[in-house]
Amino acid sequence: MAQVTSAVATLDCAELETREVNRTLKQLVADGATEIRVRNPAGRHSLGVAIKANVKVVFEGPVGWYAAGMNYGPHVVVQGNCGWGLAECMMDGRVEVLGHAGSGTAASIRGGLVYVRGDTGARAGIAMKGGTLVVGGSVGYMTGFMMQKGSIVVCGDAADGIGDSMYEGTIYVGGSVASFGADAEVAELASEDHAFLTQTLAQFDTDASAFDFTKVRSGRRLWNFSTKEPELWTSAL
Amino acid sequence: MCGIVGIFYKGEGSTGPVGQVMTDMCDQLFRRGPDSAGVALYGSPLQDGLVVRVDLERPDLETAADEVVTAAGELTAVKDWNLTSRSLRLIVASDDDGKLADWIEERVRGARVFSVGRAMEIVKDLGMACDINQRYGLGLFQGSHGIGHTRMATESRVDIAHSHPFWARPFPDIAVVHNGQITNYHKLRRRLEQKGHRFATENDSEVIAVYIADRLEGGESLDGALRASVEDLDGTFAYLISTANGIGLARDQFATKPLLYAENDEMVVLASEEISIRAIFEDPNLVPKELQAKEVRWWLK
Repeated sequence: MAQVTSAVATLDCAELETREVNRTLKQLVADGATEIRVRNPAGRHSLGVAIKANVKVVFEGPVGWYAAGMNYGPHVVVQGNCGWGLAECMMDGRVEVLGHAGSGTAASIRGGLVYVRGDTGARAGIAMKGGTLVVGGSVGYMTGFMMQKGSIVVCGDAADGIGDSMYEGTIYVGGSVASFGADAEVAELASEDHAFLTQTLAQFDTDASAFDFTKVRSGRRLWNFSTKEPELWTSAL
Repeated sequence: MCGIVGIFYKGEGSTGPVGQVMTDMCDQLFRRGPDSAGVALYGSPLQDGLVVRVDLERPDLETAADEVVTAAGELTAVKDWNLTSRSLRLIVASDDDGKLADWIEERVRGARVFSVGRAMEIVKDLGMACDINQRYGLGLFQGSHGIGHTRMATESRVDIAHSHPFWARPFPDIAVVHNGQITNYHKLRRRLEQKGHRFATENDSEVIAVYIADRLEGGESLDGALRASVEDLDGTFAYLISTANGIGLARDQFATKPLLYAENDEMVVLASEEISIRAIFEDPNLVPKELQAKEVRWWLK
């Protein structure tokens, strides 16, 4: 089942209940493992959650919904796809998905970095309160919906409604934008934006200068209700 | 929350163990819908005649089966029949005016016609899909494509008749499985009833099947019907529609309900969650991907 060899441990999910997998992960961390390789995740839900430690966890296959949620510190790698709600409410840490991700990726994260090499479903970065989300492919409907802080970098295309009702934060899109969401507006890229993109994408062997990024931010017109702009509110609601 | 699954074997004449695959995939999604499960399976199309699946809600199953066979025989020739648990399978010569289902139900107490088609057979029941597989002997069913469903009831009662898939009565070989809620159900149903269609249940998902079948009957392509449905259906939905030739799907404008597709040279696999695909198929080339909002796709022979 679980085996610790020096600081690298292996854990096979095949015969374990989800709670047993997560309990064993925490026990391995407590026993001093610095890297845990998890075999046969087989798209199961809620794996690798609520870990508060500086440990590397590698899932050798796809994971299901709500993977790596509520974490504080670990570096999680998924060698496959993941389902909805990846890294939900993560406080800090790093999550890398080498396949595609479902909807609600990096929902409400407060810090850390989430990277998806492929595409994401709808509402990636919904209600982000900090941290960075990097998507190597394209993003789905209403990405960055109601985000409050942090950055989203999309190398591919964005579907309809990007940045809808965002309070704050920044979204960069390297490909095309199908349509902007309510109160999302395009801004000029400053030198610090270019520096951030170069530094962020370099971690994933991606040259930021190969893209012509569109910067999306909040128009801040939904911050306060105004009777002078009824159309804005009608369209936003 | 419900689970939907589908499989389509590519290429003319290619088939696979659809009965086993669909029920296995449904079982992986039982947490999404523990109330009931069901499948619409497409075997070899009959060259001459139709296969009819009738559910018998009667303690005296043999008598009920005899009554159905007699009733059907008044309208068309019954070539063969057999009873497995409470599912009666009939082979009949024809149903040219689409009245056979109503005819049987009006004459035999407790009989509900679940499907009529040259290839399609709908089997559904309460509980887990693996139990339904055992009960109705679906493990050996070979076919070209199929869809399946595990239900968590939200819109209508928990019984066999309100389980998915729903047949697009009276159109042969068309069925739907749906995850979500159709909020303009009554309006759509009234509109279709005014055109002469009859509904067998109070379930909102049934309206999708009849809506698509009605459009196909009117000469529209499956692609056109699916695209129109995204505009006309209100509410949340990810659904699969199966016809004699293949499978189509659509997702609502807010992408509220999950649906993945994975494709390799031999097949297309569809499921609400990847766990359902990974548990059955080992091919690393079957890489599931989530469909986007308003996306429609179809695969036909």
